[in-house]
Amino acid sequence: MSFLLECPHCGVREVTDFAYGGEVRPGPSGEPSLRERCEHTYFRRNVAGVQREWWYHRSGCRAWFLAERDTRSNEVHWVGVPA
Amino acid sequence: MRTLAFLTADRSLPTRAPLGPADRSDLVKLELHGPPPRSLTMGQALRAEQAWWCPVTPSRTLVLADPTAGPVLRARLGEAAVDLTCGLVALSLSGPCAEELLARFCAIDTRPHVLPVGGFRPGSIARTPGYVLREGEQQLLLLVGAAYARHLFDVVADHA
Amino acid sequence: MSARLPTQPGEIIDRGRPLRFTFDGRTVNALEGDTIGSALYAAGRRTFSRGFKYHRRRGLLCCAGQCPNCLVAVDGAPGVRACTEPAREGMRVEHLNARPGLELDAMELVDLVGRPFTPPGFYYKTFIRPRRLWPLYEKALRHAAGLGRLPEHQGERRWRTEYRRRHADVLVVGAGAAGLSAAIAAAELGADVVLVDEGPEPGGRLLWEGHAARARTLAARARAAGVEVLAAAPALGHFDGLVAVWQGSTLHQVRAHEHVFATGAIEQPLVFPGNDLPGVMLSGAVRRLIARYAIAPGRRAAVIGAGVADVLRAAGVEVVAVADAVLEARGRRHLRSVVLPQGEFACDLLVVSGGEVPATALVTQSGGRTAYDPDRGHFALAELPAHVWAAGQLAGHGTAAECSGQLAGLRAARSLGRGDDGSDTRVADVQALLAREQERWSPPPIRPGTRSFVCLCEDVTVKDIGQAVGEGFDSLELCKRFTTVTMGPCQGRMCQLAAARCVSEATGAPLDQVGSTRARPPWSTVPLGVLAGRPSEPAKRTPLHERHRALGARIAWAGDWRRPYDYGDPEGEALAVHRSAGLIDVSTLGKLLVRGPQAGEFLDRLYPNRVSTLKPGRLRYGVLTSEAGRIMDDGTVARLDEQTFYVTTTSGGVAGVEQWFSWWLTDWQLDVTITDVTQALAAVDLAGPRAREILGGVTSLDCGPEAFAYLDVRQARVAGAPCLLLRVGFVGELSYELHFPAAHGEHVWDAILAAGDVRPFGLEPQRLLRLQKQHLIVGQDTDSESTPFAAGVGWAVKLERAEDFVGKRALRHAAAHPSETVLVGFTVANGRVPTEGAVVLDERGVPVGQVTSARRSRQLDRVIGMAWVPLALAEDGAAVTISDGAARLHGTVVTEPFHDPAGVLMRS
Repeated sequence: MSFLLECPHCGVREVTDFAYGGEVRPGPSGEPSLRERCEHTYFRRNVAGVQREWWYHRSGCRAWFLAERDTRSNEVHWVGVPA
Repeated sequence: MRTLAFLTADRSLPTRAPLGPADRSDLVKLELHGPPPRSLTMGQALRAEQAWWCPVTPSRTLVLADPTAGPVLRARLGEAAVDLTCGLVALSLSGPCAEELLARFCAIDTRPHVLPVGGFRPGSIARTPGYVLREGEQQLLLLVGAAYARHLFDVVADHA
Repeated sequence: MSARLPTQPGEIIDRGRPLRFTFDGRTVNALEGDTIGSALYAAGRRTFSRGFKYHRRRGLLCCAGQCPNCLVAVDGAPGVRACTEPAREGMRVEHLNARPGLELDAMELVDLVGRPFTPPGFYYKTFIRPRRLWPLYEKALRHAAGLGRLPEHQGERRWRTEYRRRHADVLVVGAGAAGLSAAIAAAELGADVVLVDEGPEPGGRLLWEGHAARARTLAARARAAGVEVLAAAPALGHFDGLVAVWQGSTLHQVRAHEHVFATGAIEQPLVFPGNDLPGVMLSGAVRRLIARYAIAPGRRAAVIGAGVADVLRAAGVEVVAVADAVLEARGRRHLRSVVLPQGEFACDLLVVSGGEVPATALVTQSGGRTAYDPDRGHFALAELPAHVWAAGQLAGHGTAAECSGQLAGLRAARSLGRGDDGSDTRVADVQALLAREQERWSPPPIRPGTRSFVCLCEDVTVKDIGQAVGEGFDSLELCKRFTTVTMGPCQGRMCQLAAARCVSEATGAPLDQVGSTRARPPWSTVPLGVLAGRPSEPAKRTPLHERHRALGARIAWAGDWRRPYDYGDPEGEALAVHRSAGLIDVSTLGKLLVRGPQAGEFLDRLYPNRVSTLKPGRLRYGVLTSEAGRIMDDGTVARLDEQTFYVTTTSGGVAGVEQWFSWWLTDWQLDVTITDVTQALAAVDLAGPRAREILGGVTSLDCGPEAFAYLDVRQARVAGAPCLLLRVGFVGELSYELHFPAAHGEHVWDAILAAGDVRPFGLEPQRLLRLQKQHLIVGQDTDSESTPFAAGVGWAVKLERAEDFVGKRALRHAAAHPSETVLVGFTVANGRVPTEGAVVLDERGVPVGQVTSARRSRQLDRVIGMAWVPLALAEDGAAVTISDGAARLHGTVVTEPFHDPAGVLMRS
C-alpha cells in the first residue's frame, strides 16, 4: 500500500505521512442503550466501497481532515476539512 | 513574568553548541494561532520583517525569524506566539546537489517548478515529522523536532 | 572451444581489454564488455545450472536475463543472471543448487529414478507419512531445492544501499525504439521525463538487430531533450503509482504523473520433449551471442522457423535442417540430435522460437487489463487506466515502434497539459500511420511428455499440469498455486502463455476463459538488501544526552527515545533518592500547551476528573480514558493562568494524546489551541529529602513548604534560566519537576549537580521507586482493556459530575459492574523476583492473572511487584500463587503503597 493522499493544507503526500482515523460515524444520540454504545465502540461496518473517513497528517501539519476513499481501489475522490 | 516565559532561552546564558556550519537552529521560531497576520497562500512562505511567514494550516503559522530580528518580533507578537525556537532544529542544505541529497531521505517533491523560492512543505524528513522551506535557488532549509537533531545530522552526513 | 568470430558490426566487447574472473574456483578469461554468461560460453561452458526439482542440466536459453537457467552467485550474493551481469575483473562466480558440483550432481538421481515420488504437490503426498518424520523431510527438501544462501546478518552486507526519491512528469519504462521515442516526444514538449531500462545501454533490440547506430542517435536526442536516462535499472513493480527501479545499490522510487510502458515482448520457448536440454536456445539468444559478443553459438544447428538461419550461416554455423515444428530433442549431458518431422538430425544447437508475447506484467500491475487475442495467439493489452500509456510491441506495434512511442509520448504530454492543438493534430496523424498491424499468428502446438517442460524455474511439465487439473485444480490460478507454475524466478516470462494453453487443453475451456496469471512484484530478481535500504532508526535524544554519556550511563531504547537505563548502580541510585537527593532527566515527558477561552471546558470534556476548577498555580493528576472507558494515558494538568493549561503525558504517549486532543477539538470546534512543546523543553526531576535545600541553592524562589506546596506550580529563574517548577511526587519523596528551555539543558543540569549531595539516577531506579509507591505505568501495568477502577486509579474518575466527558457512560457501567481482575501490589516471601508476565494461579492451579512489574527493593528489603489478580484476592494479606516457568512462588497481596503509604514524604 503506497497510495497518495492529498492533505487539504499541505498537498499530496505518501499515505505513510498520515494516520488513519477510521470511518466517520456519528455517536449514538440521547441516552443510548448498552447495546447501542457497544456497537458504536466495538463494531465497524467494514465497507467495501466509498466511505468517508478521518485522516490525520501526523508527519506534516498535524491537522485532522476528511477523505472519501474507495476501500477497494484506494482511490480518493474528495478531501476536505470538517465544516 | 509572562506565562510562557519558560519557553524562551536566555541568550546571555550558556546554550547548546551548534552541530555544524549548516546548523541554523538559532533562527527564532514562533508558532502563531488564528488567522495569519499577513495574507498567505498555503504552500508558500512570505518574506517580511527579516522572517519567513510559513502557513502550516489556515489557522496556524510558523514564523522563522533571523536571530537578530527575532527578539523584536517576539516582543511585538507577545503571548499570541508560542516560542518554539528550542523545539525545532534547523539545517540548511545548500549547493547544486541539495535536492538530490534531500531525495535520499525525504519523499517531498522539491523540483524547482513545484517548490519555488519561498515554497514551504510540512512532511516527513528522515522518517520524522518536519518542514522543508526553499530559501534560495540552491538552498533548502529543513526543520525537525529538536530531539531528532543528532539523527538528522547523522542521516545527512551519511548521505552527503 | 568456440573462438570469437571476426569483428561484428554491433559488438560491445573490447578485444584489447582482457579480464579474468573465477567460476567455481577456476579462472575464466573474458573481454571487457562480456557478461559472465558470454565469457563462460566462449570458454566452452554449456551447463550453467541444475533444475530446481530434477536437477537436470540447464544451459543458456534466452541470453536476455529472462529465464532462470543461468542463475549464479556472484561474490556470495545468489540469484544473479550470468547472461546479463557484466563480467568484472576478479569477481568470484559460483553455481547454485548442485552438490557436490555442477558437473556431478547427486540429486540428478531424482530425474532418473525419483519421478514416481515427485508428482505436483509431492510434499503433501509422498513425504507426509509417517507424519513425525516431516521436519526431517522438510529440512532435506529445503536443502535440495534452494536457490542459494543469503548472508545471515545485516552486518555481512558489504555494500551500501540507498533510496532515491524521484518525482517526474512522465516515467517511461523500457528504452527500446518505442520507449526512447516516447521519452523524446514528451520531453520536447517540456515534460520532466525519466526513462529506465534493464539493459546496460538504451536501445533494446535495436542493439542486436543491426541498428545500434540508430539506438545511439535516439539516446543522444533523449538526453539532449533533458530526459534522465537510467540504464541497467530494471523496474521492479508498480505500487499504486510508485514505480520501484533498482539500479546498482540504489532503489529509485519514481512518482510520475504519467506512465508510458514500452516493455517490449518476450520470446517464448517451445514445449516439446527434451526442450530443456543445454543446446536448445531461443533465436534472440543466438542473435545476441553473435552480434554483441561475437560468439558462434554452435557448430551444427537445426532451426525451427527460418528467421535466424541466415544469421547463423553468416557466423559460420552449419545449418543442418530448417523445420516448422520439432518433435523431440535428444541427448543426456547436452543436445546431440533433434527429431524433426522430416527425420533425425545430429546437431549441437537447436534454435527455437515460440513467438513473442507482450511483456504485460508491469502494465497490468498499474491497472491495465489483458485479453486473449485469437488472431495473434497470445494475451494482449485490452484496456489501460487513465494516465497510463503503452507503446511498441507491448501495444501491438512491432514494426512501427518509433511511431508508436511518439504517439504515447505525445499523449502523455497532452495529458499533462503540455503542447497545444498542433500536438493533437500530430497525435491524429501518427495514429493514422499506426493502423493496427494485423499479422495473424498462432503458436506451434504443445507436445506433451514427461520431459516437456512448461516451467523451467519450478520444473513443471505438461504432464504435471494435466495431473493437477485431473486432481481438481482446474482453474489456472488454482493450478498455479498447486504446481507453482509461473511462480519461479522468471515470474512467468517463459511460461505464462504455455501454462494457460496447457490448462486450456486439459480442461477444454477456451483461452479467453482460462485467462492469464498476474505477475506480482518484483518483476526482476532483486537483492533484499536493496529493498531494505539503509539501516536508519530515528532516535530521539534529550538535551542532556551527552551529559549522560559522559557520566557513563547505560543508554537504552525507551519507546523512540534513547534514555539512561542507569549509571551503573541502579540500587545505589535509588537509595540516594531516599537518603539525600537524586536527579533524573525526564525531558521525554510529553508536554502540551492547551490555551484559549474554552481551554478549561475542553479539558473537562476529556478528563474524567474536573480540570476547570484548578486554580492558576495548581496542578492535578489526570488519567485519560477512551470512549470505552479504558486507560489511554496519564499525566498531570497544571493551570498556568486563566486560559493556559500545561499538560504532561507519558514519554511514549504525547503524539497519541496530541492526536486525540486535536481530533476532539476538530469535532467540538471550541476556541482552544494545542501546541506540542515536548522537544522545546528540557525537564528534570529533583527528588529526595534534601531536594528543597538543593533547589534553594540555585533559585531565589521561596521553596518553603507553605510558599511552594505539594501540587503547586511556580515560575522562577533556576541557575539563571527561566523555568517552570511543578511540585509532583511520583517517586515517593519530596520532589520538584523543573521544565526549562532545551538550550539550557546542560547548564541547569550542571548547576543542580554542583549544588549539593545529589546523584543522577536512571530509568531503572525510577521504576523501582515508582513501584514502591504502586504508581502504575500505563502500557506496562495496564493494557487496552484496563479501566481506571480496576487499575486502582478510580479516585481520578468523578462520575458525579453533571457534564458529559469522553467515556463517561462506559465508566459508569464499569463502576456498576466491577471487573473480574484488579491491579494490586504484592510481596514474595522467598526472595525470588518473578519475571514480568509470570502467571497468577488460583487455588486449583488455573491461570487467573499476571505479574506486570516486579523488583527487589533494598530500601524495603523485600521483593515487591504489581499484578492483576481476581477481585476476591484483592485484599491485604491474601495469598497468591505465581507460576514463573518451572517455579511456584508464594506472594502476599498489599493494597497500600509499600513505601510511605500515607504520602507524608512527598507532601513534606
